[in-house]
Amino acid sequence: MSNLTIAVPKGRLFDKSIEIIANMDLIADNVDFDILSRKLIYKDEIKNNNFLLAKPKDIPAYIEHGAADIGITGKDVIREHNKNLYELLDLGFGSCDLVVAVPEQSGIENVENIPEHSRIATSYPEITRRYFNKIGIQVDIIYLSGSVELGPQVGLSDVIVDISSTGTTLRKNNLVPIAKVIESSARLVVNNVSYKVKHNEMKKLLAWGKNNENLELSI
Amino acid sequence: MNTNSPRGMKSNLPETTYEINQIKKDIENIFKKWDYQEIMTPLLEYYDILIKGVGEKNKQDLYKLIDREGELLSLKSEMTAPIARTVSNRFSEISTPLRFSYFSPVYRYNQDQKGKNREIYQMGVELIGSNKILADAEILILAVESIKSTGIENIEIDIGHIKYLEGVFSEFGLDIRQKEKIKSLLNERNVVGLRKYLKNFKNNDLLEELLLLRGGEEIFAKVERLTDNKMILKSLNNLKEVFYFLKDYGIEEYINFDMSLIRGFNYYTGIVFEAFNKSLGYFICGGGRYDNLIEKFSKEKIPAVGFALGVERIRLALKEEQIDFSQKNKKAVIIFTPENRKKALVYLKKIHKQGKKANIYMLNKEELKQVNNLNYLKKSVLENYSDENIDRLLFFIDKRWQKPEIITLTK
Repeated sequence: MSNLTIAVPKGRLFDKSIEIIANMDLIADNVDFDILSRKLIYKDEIKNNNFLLAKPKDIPAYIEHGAADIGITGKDVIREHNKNLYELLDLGFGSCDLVVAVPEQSGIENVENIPEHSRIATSYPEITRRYFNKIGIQVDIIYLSGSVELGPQVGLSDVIVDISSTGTTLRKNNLVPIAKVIESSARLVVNNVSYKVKHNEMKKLLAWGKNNENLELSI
Repeated sequence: MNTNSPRGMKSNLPETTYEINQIKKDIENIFKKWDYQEIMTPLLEYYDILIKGVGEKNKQDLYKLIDREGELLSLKSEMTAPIARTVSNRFSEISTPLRFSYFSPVYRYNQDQKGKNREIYQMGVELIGSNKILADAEILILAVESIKSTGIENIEIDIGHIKYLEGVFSEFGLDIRQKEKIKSLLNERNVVGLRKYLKNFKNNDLLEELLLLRGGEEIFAKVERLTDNKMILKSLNNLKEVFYFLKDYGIEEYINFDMSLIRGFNYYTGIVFEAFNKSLGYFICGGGRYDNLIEKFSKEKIPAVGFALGVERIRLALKEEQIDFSQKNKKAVIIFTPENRKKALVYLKKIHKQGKKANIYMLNKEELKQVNNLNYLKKSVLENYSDENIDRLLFFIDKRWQKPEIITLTK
């Protein structure tokens, strides 16, 4: 009888998110996840929970405005959007780093050596702005919604700030990471009011988190 | 020329303006009953004054401008600092507590949060010159009564205490940097970050339990079991006493305690609280005790406590609860004969479900004698009620009727 509305991320975080949601006992065992993955909205009559599927970067908005009680999204997204919500659990999967990377031939080995007014391509303009403000280098940020590693190859940017989990994409494009901006992984986020009004459910989720702190998920 | 309003600003059309005014009227009525007097402060203040209230870390939220003398000014972003400044100018000594209320727009330059209003209409009160627990209780009662007066029933208030957190910090011997880190994690509601950070401390399970404690009355006994730190227990006693006042007033059902509550402004020194409605995802009211703020503007140390309500958020909550503003105070009376009791009750349920007000009235012996004389019944029932908000009488007086006979009352 939990009656939660749960925002599930589409794309690469979907499979493990749904696995965790099942592990938390928030969705019935007999649900066909393939069918679910193609829906936008789904009601699980057995566990009495509603599900909505959205892009990871839209999930903080659903949570902040109360359209969903809880949701799963990356720490990178949470930091970029800076929304007013509870970050309740680190779910451990989907881990990646947001890194500063430069073309191999540039010879730059650390961020301090990035020249002033370098152009930086990124899908994370806010995090990038805050990062370079903090280390005191003035840069021009170019927002790209994807394929950021293309920037240096076509002369659009000198540097990129992008996520990297294994480093393969960077290597393929002759880019080398020189600094880690943040470490990211999937987080369970909660609406401010839901955290309070549905506090018993939240306690259960926190307890689940404690019991599964070192859980290596099988998938 | 861009004919849209600037980002975060909007014009309110007649319907919305009417709704805002209805909310304002309801809440003002409560403020007046408790003898709070409305005051007005200027839209512009010196930046230095406002920053004392909101704190350095929120300075990007202030709209700033420079006047012709080169002074840095700001649009007020909340009302507590301007009222504190006003008090420090005008009242060097306060013999009896001052009770001020306000209705005012405030301005916040929310940079990252798209779609948020940057002009926010707030109503609130400040009780200045009392450090008594009764003053804390009065403010909390007033917060509940104000919200309820607008028609929102479904409310909860979470109360915390700044000294409780300080007690926890001292119990664990934390230094200033560690305290600030924990406060900022609590303020961001970053439970993941907090739990990771607490791993650095010994006895971190207890620390975590004390910080993330939330619940009803039962938390008092729980804290007493967990610790014997004097500062923690003192703040807990303060909360307990406040709670007993609220209990005697009969509003304990709305009250919870959230010991992790700190709220964004750094001027709070005692109780802090926020109120919310179950159907709306945002807080609708926030406040607390600030005993050191006025001192920053004058030599006088004057304790104070108060809260602010977001008028737009109350309006949204009312919409969520599907309360029809034009009919908000209007009510129907369902009048029935004993044999039509069931029909009347079913109909009552239906009206209540629509969020409208209705009463039921069963005809008495005297009235039953003239059951076919609607005019007589109308007069008789209205004499019994003498309530000017009744706008419809619904009669179930004939077994054959499936729907009531309706008389609409016009002024």
